[in-house]
Amino acid sequence: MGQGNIIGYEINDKACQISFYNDQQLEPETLEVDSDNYQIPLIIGKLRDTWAYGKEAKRLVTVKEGFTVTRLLEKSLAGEKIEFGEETYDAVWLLSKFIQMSLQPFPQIEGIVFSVPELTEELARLLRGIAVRMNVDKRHIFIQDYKESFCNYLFYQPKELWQYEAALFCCERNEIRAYMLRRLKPGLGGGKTTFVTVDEVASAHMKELAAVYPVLNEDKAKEADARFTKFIEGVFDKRIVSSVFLTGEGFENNWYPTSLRVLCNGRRAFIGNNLYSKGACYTAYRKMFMHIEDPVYLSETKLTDQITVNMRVDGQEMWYPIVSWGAHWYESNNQWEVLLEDVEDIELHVESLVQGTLKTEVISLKNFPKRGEYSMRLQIETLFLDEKTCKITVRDVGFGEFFLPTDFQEEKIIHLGGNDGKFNSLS
Amino acid sequence: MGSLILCHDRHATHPYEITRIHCKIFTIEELCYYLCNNLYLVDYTIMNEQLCTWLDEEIGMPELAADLRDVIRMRGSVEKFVLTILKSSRIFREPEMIRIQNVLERLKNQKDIERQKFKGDNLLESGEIEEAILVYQAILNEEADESVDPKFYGKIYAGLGAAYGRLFLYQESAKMYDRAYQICEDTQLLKPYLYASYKYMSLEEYHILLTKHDDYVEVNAQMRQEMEDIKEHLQMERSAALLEKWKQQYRRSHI
Repeated sequence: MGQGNIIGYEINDKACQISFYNDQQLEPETLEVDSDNYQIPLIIGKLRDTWAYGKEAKRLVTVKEGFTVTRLLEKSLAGEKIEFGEETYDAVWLLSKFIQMSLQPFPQIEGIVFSVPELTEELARLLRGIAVRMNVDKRHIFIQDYKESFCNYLFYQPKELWQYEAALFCCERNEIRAYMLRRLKPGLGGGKTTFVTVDEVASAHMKELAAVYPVLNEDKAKEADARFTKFIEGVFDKRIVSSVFLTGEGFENNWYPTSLRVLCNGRRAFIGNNLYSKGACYTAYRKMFMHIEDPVYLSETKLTDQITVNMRVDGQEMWYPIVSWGAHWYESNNQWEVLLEDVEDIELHVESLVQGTLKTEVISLKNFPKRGEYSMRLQIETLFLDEKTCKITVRDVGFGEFFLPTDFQEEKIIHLGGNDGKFNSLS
Repeated sequence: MGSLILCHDRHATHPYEITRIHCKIFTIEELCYYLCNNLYLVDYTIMNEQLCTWLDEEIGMPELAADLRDVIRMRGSVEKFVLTILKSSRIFREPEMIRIQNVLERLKNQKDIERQKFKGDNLLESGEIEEAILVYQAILNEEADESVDPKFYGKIYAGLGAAYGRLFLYQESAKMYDRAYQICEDTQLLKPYLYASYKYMSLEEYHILLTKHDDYVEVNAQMRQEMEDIKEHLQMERSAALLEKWKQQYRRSHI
């Protein structure tokens, strides 16, 4: 595998950041734009016939030359068109152009995970479409929110950092948000898997923060520090927190010495601004190389049901998830090809975390043609009709020139329980 | 209780062609299927750089390609080459791998002439009839190997008899079965011999043949009864699928 093939791509309306999996260090590494700067402004521009993105495009804004477009995500979602002279561009085309240009250092991408502040189905579809047009295998494209990126980042840190809860503080110009990663009820799903979630536990608008950014105003800084200390104490109240992560441009000036002492009291604290892109890169790695994920991040919008099939994968027998809990239903349409070895029907296990049940469904293959061992190849397809209904289709896809495909296929509709607003019952 | 086996996700854009059976291969699973079902046919021609490049570039298995190149460079055996592919595919369970290994081992210990016969038998079984005839004839054209059981040659003639029969060349078929019977003295060979004779001879000639040999009468009666039974149970439904199958078979053996 070549360096840079697995990408974590953090994107918001202001900037993007790229982390890639470094094969030598076996760790994600963040693409440096300038010395110690990883943020690429989300701006695209054109001067005469030349396209520019990021820092170069920002320069065009400054010198007021050519044309530039900002807030590309918002405009793409709104389906806006941007006119420049006689030309008209779709915002989504410009966003796609931006992403492609920013990923030029990685000519062959094996897998990509986008990390966005808040995930919607529309945004997921938009980014997925862009990645597909860049010829990334659609099975290796995922979109997650910052909370999930934080989670995946932590999964690859020493376990003691999230032995109890782990806190994330995000500080922007005048707002601080606190998130807490916690384990869900032990024993869920048979107890083989650890489930975690991330809650937003507090947020505060702090006018003082505007004053400490970008130049430190000492008096305002003291006020901000005092308010932040109170905020932290409120967040930590009655919680055992193993580690603390600080991220966001608001933490760049050291205006919070008192708060820092409170943060670090009996726990480890980290500061950085590439946690989301690295987290996304870890996810991309997990998705590509792990058949069964453990631990699993869950949220209100994620599937709390799992469908598995007994299968031999890389020589190992396992209940292989064709629909995984912790995935989004709209990202769970997939296809696999399997060979049959002395099989008359396909048994599916449908497990629900909320109901705590395990149901068995069977797809009979009795009408399928009979062929020699290891030459009966079937395609298994999962297609979600809505968030609780999954259609599973099994069809004969033939075996190359040895056996042509036939029209034989069987379908099964699986009704999933979903969480029905009972996500909290998993706590 | 059987199992499903997850296939590798790469399908070659450019297939690898196995010229011997005129078949294009698109996946590692198809390659393994060909190898496992043609263990007797596999010879050094499968050990080639083209296959390694195909596995590397089209199937995305560079480690396997590198291992196979090592086998070629170290002048390893065909058996080792084949087993390396089958093991890397991770399709087969351990007992199946042991069975394949045993077959390869047995083949390795066979005389060249015996391997040739296996090759002919397998070609015949897979419908490559002309190729099977050529292999059998090549064995007969060689100087007789005195170290093998004389009945071995009888079995070659029987193979030729079956091959000619499947091409509807009944006179040649009968001749070959006759020779086979002379050598092996196996009464099992009389039935196909009589059937081939019945098909090419006039009724009169056939009756003369029967009257000359007392023991043929009983075999003939059995054979005729079997023919009747088969005719009775024959269900020949013309279907697009059957037609397509025949076309495929024809193409594979003639193009």
